[in-house]
Amino acid sequence: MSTDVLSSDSHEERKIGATREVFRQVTRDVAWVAESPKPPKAWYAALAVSVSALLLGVYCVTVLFQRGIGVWGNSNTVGWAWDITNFVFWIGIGHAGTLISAVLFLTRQSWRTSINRAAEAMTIFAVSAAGIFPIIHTGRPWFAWWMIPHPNDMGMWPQFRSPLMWDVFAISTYAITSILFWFMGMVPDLATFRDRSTSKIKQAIYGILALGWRGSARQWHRYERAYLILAALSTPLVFSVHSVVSFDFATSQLPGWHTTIFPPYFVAGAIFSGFAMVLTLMVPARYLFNLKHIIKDSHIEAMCKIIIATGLMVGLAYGIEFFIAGYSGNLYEQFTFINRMFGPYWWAYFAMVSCNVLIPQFFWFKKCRTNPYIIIILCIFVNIGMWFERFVIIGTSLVRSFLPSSWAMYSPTFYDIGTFIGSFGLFLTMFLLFFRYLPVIAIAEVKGVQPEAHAGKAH
Amino acid sequence: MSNQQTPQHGYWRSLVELDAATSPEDVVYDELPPEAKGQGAAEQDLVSRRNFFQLMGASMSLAGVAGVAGCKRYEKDHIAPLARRPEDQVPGETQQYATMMELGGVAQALLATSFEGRPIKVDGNPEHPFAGGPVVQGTKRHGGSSAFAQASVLHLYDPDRSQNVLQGGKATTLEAFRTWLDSTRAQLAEPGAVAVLSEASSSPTVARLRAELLRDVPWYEWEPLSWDNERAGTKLAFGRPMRPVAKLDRCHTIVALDCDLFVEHPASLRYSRDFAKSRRPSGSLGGFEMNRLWAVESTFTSTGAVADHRLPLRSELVLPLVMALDATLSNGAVPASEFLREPKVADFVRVLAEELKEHAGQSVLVAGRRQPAEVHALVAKINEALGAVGQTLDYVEDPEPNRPSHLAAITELTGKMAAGAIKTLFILGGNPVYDAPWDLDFEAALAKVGTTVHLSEYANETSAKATWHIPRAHYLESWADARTWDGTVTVAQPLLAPLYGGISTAELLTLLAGKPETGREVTTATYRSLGISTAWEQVVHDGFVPGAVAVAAQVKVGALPAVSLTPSQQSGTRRKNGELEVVFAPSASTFDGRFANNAWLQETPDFLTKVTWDNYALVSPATATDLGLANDSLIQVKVGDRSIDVACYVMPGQARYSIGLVLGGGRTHAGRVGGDGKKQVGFNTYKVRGVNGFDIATACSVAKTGKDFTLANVQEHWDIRGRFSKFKNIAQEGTAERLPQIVREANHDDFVKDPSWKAEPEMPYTKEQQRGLSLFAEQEYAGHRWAMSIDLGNCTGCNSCMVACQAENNVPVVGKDQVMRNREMHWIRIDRYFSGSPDEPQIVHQPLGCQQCENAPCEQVCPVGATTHTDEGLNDMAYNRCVGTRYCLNNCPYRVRRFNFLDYHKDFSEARNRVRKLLFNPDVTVRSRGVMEKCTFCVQRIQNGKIQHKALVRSGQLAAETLPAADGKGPNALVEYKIPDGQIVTACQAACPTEAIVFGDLADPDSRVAQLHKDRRSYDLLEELYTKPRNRYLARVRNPNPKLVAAAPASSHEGGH
Repeated sequence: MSTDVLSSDSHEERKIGATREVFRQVTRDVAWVAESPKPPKAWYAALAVSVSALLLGVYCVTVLFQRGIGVWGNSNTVGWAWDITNFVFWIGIGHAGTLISAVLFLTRQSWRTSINRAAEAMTIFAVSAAGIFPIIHTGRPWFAWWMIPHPNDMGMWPQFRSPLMWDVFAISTYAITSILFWFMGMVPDLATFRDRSTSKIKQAIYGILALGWRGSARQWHRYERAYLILAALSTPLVFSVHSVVSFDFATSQLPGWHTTIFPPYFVAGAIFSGFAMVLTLMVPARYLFNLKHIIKDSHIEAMCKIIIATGLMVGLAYGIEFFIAGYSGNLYEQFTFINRMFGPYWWAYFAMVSCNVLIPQFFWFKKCRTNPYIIIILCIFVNIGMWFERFVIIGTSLVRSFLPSSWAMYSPTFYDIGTFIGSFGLFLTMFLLFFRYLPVIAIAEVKGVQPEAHAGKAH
Repeated sequence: MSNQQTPQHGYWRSLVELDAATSPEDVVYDELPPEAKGQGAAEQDLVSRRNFFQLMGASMSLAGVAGVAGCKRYEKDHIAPLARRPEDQVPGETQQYATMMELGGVAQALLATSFEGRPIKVDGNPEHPFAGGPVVQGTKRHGGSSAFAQASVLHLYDPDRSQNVLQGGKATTLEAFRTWLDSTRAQLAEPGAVAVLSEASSSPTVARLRAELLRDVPWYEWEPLSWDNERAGTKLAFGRPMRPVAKLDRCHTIVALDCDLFVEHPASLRYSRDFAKSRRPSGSLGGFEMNRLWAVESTFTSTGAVADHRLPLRSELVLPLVMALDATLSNGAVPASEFLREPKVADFVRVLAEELKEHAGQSVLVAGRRQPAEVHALVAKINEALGAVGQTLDYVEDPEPNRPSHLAAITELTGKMAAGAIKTLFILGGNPVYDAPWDLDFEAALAKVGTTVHLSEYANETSAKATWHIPRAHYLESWADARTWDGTVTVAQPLLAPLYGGISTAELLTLLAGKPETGREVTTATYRSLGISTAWEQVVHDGFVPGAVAVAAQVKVGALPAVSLTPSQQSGTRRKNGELEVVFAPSASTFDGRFANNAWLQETPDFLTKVTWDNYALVSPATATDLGLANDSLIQVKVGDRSIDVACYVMPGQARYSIGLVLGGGRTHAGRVGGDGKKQVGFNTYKVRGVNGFDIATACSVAKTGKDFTLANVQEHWDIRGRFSKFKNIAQEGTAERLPQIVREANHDDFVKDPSWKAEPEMPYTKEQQRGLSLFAEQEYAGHRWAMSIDLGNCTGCNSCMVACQAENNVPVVGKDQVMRNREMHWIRIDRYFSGSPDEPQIVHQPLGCQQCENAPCEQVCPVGATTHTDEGLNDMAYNRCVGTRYCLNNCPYRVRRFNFLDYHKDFSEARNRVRKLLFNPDVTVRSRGVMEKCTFCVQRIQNGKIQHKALVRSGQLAAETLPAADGKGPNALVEYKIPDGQIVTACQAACPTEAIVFGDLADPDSRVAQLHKDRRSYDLLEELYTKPRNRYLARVRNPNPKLVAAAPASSHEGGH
């Protein structure tokens, strides 16, 4: 073939060229973030804030390890407070990532591709932030590993009737699967980064992470198969992990905890809070890193709709809880719910209901689903509400349980608050680093769902 | 928020941590070698290996009857290994020695437990004729003890206890004091120039030495919580002071007039026991008969809490009330006091009088310490008229009939001191600078005395103003004797050499007389002088002189002088501010202030207020509303023209217009726990206690100061917590709704009328039917099944069990700050609720330790299996396996689990505090931080009991008896030996004066606990949770007079707090 043929300006050629250009543009747009010599100033500002928060958390945990749980506000009445509240809160946040990457993948919701990478990353960072709490909340964290079954000559073995043991397995399975899923999905894009890198160091690092990806058809084939399998494995986790977490409460005998509705209620709440967090992060990010044409308005709207749906589920659960408490005729159960609503922590209860049930109703209006400022504000409210939901469940049930002699109030200390802020610091720091150094959008997948990718199918 | 590391009242905290403003000199002082701090301080680090062996050797030789004299510091000497074991010493085993503690001039007979030469626990002496004896049918031996006695062992090892003879505040030696004494002996002989001020003492030895050696020295006695009004009253009635000893076990009707029979009364232990005997259905009165307790009091006491009828009344109105009662009984003229016409009071007096007539000869009236002589005289008259004397009441001769009252004595002495007449003053114990009436200005008078010598366990406020301070030996370090309330001579023997080189009162007296003798020599000499036939060894072994009891005297009440009532006793019941009454009450934690440095007592919540660490002013809810006073605020209480700021506690049931000022706080020289001048624990209410209004002050006023002061309360008071004002009664309503389920009660009449009445109503499913319906397989028990029964009807809330548990189980003290964070560590607590109206409530209470559930919710949720079930049904903690998830705590419906939030034993690493470690019970693990702990049913005692029994059986000293199988057919599968019921006793059970706590083996069908579990009063707490607790409560049966119940509006559990 002559060069003429190659350079001929036929329709086909032009079409292919245009498609390539679109693909190139996608690659450029995504890789730009990692390749630009300097990230935007806002990134530095955000990192400074996040790292400061992280350092505060490190300080608080150091003091905690040095002196004991007593630096927190927990007491002999309120055994768990902010520690487990934060744990459940973060675990819930993670759920949206898994849902987006796995469930929506299996149900072929193509809009997921623009956000699934970031959502998966969020899952992992949220699970990291969550995973800290069960460890540091123990009185002797240096022995927390005793909860992991391990062979030893002392015959020590965990106690498998305890829901905390189930937690250990649920959370570790979740963390491992999520990391694998996220990393494996990233391999082709890491190869792209490797290929585009100019510095030796970056080439080496991305090269190692890309695991020798060449983009051959066979590799693609196996990649797709593995991805599907992992998606199928992850899907039940969306439902099982938070169900197991809810067993911590549901299988106890404490009024306000001992409730059969908890597993679906917790899962709905987790997805609810997770989507709110994805939106809180992605809406500013698409402006910050100029990704508006990839993370499209329609994607944002779809997520807002999910928030309405799950918000209604959570609201239904609140109502059912109250109904059952009244219907049960159980003195203690009834008191717990009356106390939740009108007791000393009434404000926490009303914060929860208004943020989780009332606020999401704004998303019925299209204007609210499209205005980034409104979305962010509403989503932050949802996240506040979901934190309060966990506090209401854990805290207000414990402060007034069976015997009135042990009733007591709970108030957090500096170290409670500092640890919580620190967990945000960890989460955001990891997220900002991810944005700077890793492909925040699944380049290969996004290419696959561009209209241009299907242009050639006509032939 | 971050200040939890600087607790207000940390236990044994270093000064550096407590007070950032520690002077550099203090730090330097600590750095110096002990020798550099004065010779007496050489024993600073008492647990160095060398010192430990010295002490151990010394105490071992002292522990027996024959030994080294207790008064001398053990000389430095060569030590040799203990190659040959002394006959009665088995390493690792404890010995028990009878001894005695004197409190307020009255002996408490005790049995001290010693582990390898160090006393670690005290309990009541079960053999003592006055103090010991069983309550529950089937109990062989039992001796209750008071919370003060239980806690006294902590003083022994208190590093703040005085360790040096001080001259002008500087450390010196006892030799120096003796040299000084010898050099001034000539001056001491000058008549009238020397005086002795002693705390109350009933010691025959002290009396003998005083009579023999100090014949010419005037002797004054001072006690801030004195029962001298009773002496004065009986003197009015009989012509000479007599001591009434009531026999409550024979009483159908008991009337306590402003008198706390069960905690404050010098015979409280005996009274508690006797009360419990006649209180139990099928007790000492036979059949279903129960006594009925009537209480009239201004401040709520234990007696009011267990009373069937309680009339809150200003203390000053008790006199007209008693006059009215006397008049009603003898058909005389009722005094013209307005309050007596109130229907409530009139009904009370009328029905009480009817009942007393009905039970003539089966009833007794007892008047309290605060009441004036006229009340005591009238009470004597009424008791005589009712035929109580000889039946329910004995009068014994006062040991010292000619002694002036404590108040008169200190007034006279202070006058002489202020006039400069006293050149040398010996103060034996006590703390008059702190607790003498303020208007005497004892401190200023003391400054006018040439030389003062103060003998005291602590270098207290008085020591600081004295020329010489001599450390006094603890009662476990010295020979002593004293009389119990009935006059039984009770003997104390030392269990170890004085840790800090103190001497006893008797030893000091011999020094003063220039004839120094050891404590043992003087005590045995007294014994010889009493001419008793029992061998001295037997006396020391038993702890008392048998038969040395004052015999009941035959006395007749003479004509009583006419009593005139004050205007405030006559006039209206409504009082204005400025016309209020102030009464002074002892502290449940510091008594009169002397136990201020005892962290166990400071942290034991007052039974009625549930407040720890501070004292306060008790104000009735109505008065608080009238004057706008609130909890957690400082109020100014003005008595005469003196006023103090004190924390306010609004106490339901406090008499209206009466302010109860609790004594014993605000110490400045108590020690690092109870106030050392740098920090303050409580308020010095003695500052407003003058000679006038010594017990009951009138014309007082109260004002808000606007300042806040938070009391560390272990139970919330809801009135200030309702932040959502419209719904603020949620807590009260919720409590009221569930309380009848939690603390079950019956009315005596209903209980008797309906033999089918059961505390535990029939459930739709019986326990047997429920079996197998549980998610997890239920455990079967083949051998022992340990269980407990707590009788709510007999518990008086004396707190002994709480302190006993703390001592037995090495339970840490956490300090006020941690208590305010709800982190107190007590393994057993006493829950207290109110029912009825806030002005006249009833108390509902419940001691609560681990319920040892057979289906324990805590066990199921522990991820590491640190809390597990034993074959004997105990819910055990493996501390070293616990990682501290606190899930068990959350899942415990009884909230009895206690978490070590911080390192509560941190301070023991400090050199000066190391001595405190000697007190630890070696059989119980000291828990580290981050670990959960809780009541174990004293598992160490169970194991010891089993081992000892097995050893006896296997050595052929006891016949083996095997436990029956669960179905009663044949022996049990494990072939466990049946352990005689009562051989294993938990610490709380041993301490309980009323034997409300019974422990035993359910597998033994004849055991008391097995019987009590079948009692119809018996119920499981929160039975609907199917936890199957091994502790069952016996419902309290109230015994109100039906006539009075009919007259008064019905009060139920409405509006509980």
